[in-house]
Amino acid sequence: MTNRMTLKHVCKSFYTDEGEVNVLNDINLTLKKGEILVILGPSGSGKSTILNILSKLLAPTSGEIQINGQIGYMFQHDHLLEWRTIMANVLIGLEIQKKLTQENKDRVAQLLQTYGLWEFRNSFPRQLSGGMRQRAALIRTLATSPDILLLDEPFSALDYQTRLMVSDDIYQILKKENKEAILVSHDISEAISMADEICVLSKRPATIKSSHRITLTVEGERTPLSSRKAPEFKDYFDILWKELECHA
Amino acid sequence: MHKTKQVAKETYAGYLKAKAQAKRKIFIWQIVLLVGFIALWEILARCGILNTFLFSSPSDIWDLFKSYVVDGSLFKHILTSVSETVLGFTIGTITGVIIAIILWWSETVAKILDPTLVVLNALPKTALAPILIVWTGAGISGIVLTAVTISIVTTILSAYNYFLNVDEEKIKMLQSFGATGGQILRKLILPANLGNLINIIKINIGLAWVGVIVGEFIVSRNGLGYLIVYGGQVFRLDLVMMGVVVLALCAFLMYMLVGWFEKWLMKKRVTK
Repeated sequence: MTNRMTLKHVCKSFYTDEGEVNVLNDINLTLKKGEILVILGPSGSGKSTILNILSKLLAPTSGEIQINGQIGYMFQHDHLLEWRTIMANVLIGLEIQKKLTQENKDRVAQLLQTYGLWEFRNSFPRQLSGGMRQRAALIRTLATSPDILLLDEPFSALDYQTRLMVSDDIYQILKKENKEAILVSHDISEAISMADEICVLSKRPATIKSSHRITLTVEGERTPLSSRKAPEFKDYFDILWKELECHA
Repeated sequence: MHKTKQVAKETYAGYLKAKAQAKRKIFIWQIVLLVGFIALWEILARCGILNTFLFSSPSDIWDLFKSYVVDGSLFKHILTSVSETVLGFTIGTITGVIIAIILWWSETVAKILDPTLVVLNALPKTALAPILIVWTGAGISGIVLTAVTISIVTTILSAYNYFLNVDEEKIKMLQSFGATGGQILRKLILPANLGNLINIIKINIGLAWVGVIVGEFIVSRNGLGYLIVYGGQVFRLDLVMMGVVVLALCAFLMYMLVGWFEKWLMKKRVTK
């Protein structure tokens, strides 16, 4: 099995009193094993709708979806519950799925340790910085051992510097844990720095306008930060910029 | 030549001291206001400027208070009213919150009940007291029911609104883990609104007291409301005033208790 996830001819319409709003029109996507797929599109183009369909929070109007594995969803905001400690927050998924076994707890403890939140396990969310909160949110998603991660603009609520650092963190966590991910973004540089493949969405009703395989020459290991220094970065940026621009 | 020289010296200890002083000053003025009011009342009553038949006087009220304490009847009245109030607001709050949960659970039920709740909310519930008392009889149940009726409608409406205001995205976060409605309720909706629920309790204490006093005005042989209305009927204004003062104290104490409970709960939550 080389594909983690495929979408074939997926359409989605919303029905309101004003009429039918066609949001997705014939979406075809493939997520390959071990890769990060970025869906890049203007705001309001239905990016989140795709993720909601993939995570089964929404049903498509028509089309075929094939998913091999468990899905974990990471949101734009961390949505940590203020009255729970970091430990209780990251365990909430396991708690809901009634999988609070010692083995799982140990694994979560390991995750907290690896990603520098162990000292803060008994702290409350408000005592953590924005970047740490976002990392805690990722650990909460990873706690239920998903195979595929859906990331809905997970850095857009952070300030620029934190954003670069957190995207670096999260990229490395994804690669280290060997997870596939679909990341939704409207930020071209962020998309290039994280992606193995980028799909550009058109305006509503959204279709996949084009898809680009990202190959970058970097010294040493590829990270979002080192990707930004790759010589091809600017070329990809120009291409994507034009693609987004022509229907802005 | 104009010269200015300013030497600034601010310290944290100084800040704390200034803050404590300000607090003490406010407290002293609060006491002065209270004592001054009572003293002025007493003096005006003794000089004959105030008609004691209409206004009574602090010393008369105090004497009456002592006699009621000595023969123990005051405690009987307090106990009656307080237990009616506690019962009223407990039943009102709990049933109200349960109904709010049902409305949150089912949008259809919420829509069906919407006009009923709007009308009930607009209606002064005290108007229902005579009917309720006739239906349930002249005992404690009619009075408690009046208290429940007054507190339950606001409880339902405000709790329901609080529940709806919980961040939609947080619900989605729990749903992405496959959470059921019950889990969302227990893990998100209720804990997120703990502070709001305590506020509802605080408001309900006041509302339950309204219900109890109105109920006792209409029919009772016991309670602070009975003392007040009886005093009014026989033109014993000292009895009325004493009833009101004791009532105010009781309501204040209950409010304080809830305040302490709230502090304890919040502290427990943070140090869990």
